[in-house]
Amino acid sequence: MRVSSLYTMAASMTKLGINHLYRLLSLRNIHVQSTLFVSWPFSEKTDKNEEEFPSEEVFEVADERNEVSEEMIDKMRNVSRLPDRLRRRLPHVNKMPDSNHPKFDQLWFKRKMYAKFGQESGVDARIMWPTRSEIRERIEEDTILEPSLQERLQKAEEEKIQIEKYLNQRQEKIKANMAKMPKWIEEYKARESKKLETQKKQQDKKQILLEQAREYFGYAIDPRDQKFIRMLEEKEEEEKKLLKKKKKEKRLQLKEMYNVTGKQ
Amino acid sequence: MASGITEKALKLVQSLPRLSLSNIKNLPHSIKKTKRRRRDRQHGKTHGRGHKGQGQRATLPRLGFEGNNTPFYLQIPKEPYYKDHELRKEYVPVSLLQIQRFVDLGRLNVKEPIDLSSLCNTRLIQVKWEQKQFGVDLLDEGADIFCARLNIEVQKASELTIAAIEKNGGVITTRYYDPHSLHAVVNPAKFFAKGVPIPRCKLPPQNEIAYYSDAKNRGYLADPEKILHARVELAQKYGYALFEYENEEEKEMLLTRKDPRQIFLGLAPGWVVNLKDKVILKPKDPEFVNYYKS
Repeated sequence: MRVSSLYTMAASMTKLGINHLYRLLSLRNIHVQSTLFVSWPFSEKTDKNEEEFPSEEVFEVADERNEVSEEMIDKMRNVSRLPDRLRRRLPHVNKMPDSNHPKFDQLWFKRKMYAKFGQESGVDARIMWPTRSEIRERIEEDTILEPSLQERLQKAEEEKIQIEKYLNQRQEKIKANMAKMPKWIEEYKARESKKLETQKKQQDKKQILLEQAREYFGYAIDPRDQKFIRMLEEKEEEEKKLLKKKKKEKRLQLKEMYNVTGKQ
Repeated sequence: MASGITEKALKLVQSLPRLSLSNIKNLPHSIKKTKRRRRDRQHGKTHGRGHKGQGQRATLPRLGFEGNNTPFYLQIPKEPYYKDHELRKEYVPVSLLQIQRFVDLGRLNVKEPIDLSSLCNTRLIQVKWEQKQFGVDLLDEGADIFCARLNIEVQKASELTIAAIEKNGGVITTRYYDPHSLHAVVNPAKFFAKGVPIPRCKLPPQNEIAYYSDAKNRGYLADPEKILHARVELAQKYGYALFEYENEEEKEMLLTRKDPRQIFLGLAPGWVVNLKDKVILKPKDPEFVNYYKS
């Protein structure tokens, strides 16, 4: 296809719109970008070739096109097929979301939009701060939760003094107790020796009993043996009986003595 | 011949490669293959799980369960070193060596006061406020080779660290940021993108007030005169001469300190910074001014 014929066709197509032209050209399997670039009289390159295509009709069209060309080119460049609301988010596009965006009801989003787009966002800058009632609430909270520096320092000092006091008391207690220490050690030693003595006594007693048992049974018997235990029980009973007998005798003696004295 | 054999063996051992992780092999049968209980012909009708009960229904008791007895792992439940772990503060360790490296590589500008924001802006230190981290702890590692003169603000510092910085003519202050302020300090750009006023920094809690009001720790709430006294004392202790400022500019830089309520140098609490328009919005209402000032 010749360049001039393409050009005339382009001029005639302006009323249909450049998108239509684009589609048409692509359908005919023409390398659109290069041909357009070469043949377009309105781009910078073709300005030099003005003489080649001088025509009033064309220039009229050219003016019209020059106004919209940027937008058109942008539209053509947009091959992402993303919906507008998503395309706005792209970093190279970076446009404000539509004001009908559901998040626009929320304060944090408005603030964020102001931070991102500045005054262009059209957000009232006063909403950046908390409201008057919120500030008052905060002040009220702070009176309870946030004591002043002086108060904190004073409290810290008091705590420090208390800790020192506690440590001093502890030290004094330790000193007093250490003074008593030798006495306590002696007492402890006496207790221990007494304990040992009683233990030894018991052991001796047991030894004697075991020896008695050996004499009785004729062999060294285990203290856990049932025979030995029975022997011990018998012995105890005998002792009890003896005790009873002695008591009885004593009582009789006393009675006799009483009777004797009564007769007198 | 016996001697010949031993020599041969020795030679062999010498020529063999050294024992290393690359040539160690597992002992035979040390790795036990798990029994596969598939739904196939060879595994019969119960597929190795037996009839009835916990085995078949995969409702075995939990690990360590001793049949209604108090399990062993609960019999000794005392771990006092974890007491109040949920309230404890964590500080990211940063050594003097690291700081020196940042300075040498140009990651930190020594001609300006350095604070937590500038440390985080190096992208080499991360402070995560959501993990109960409250800033950085400046360690004394590399104190011997530290030679930068800077005005630094950290959250915790040891005595030797302070000495190492002051020996080179630098200034150090320890200061507290509450979690909300820390969130802003750690990533200022992210904070300004929120479009909220700069928060007013809270005072340290009761258990931290003693540390930050102590001149020995160069606390930001300590009396400046006492700090001067402590500087001299420390210099005497470690045996170095205190530095004299070369010029007015340097002196001014080294002596700049933030207000206890201020979190960004040059920006007051209550201001809104807009990075798009490059403007600062300041509240005018006396009630607001008073709130952010106090």
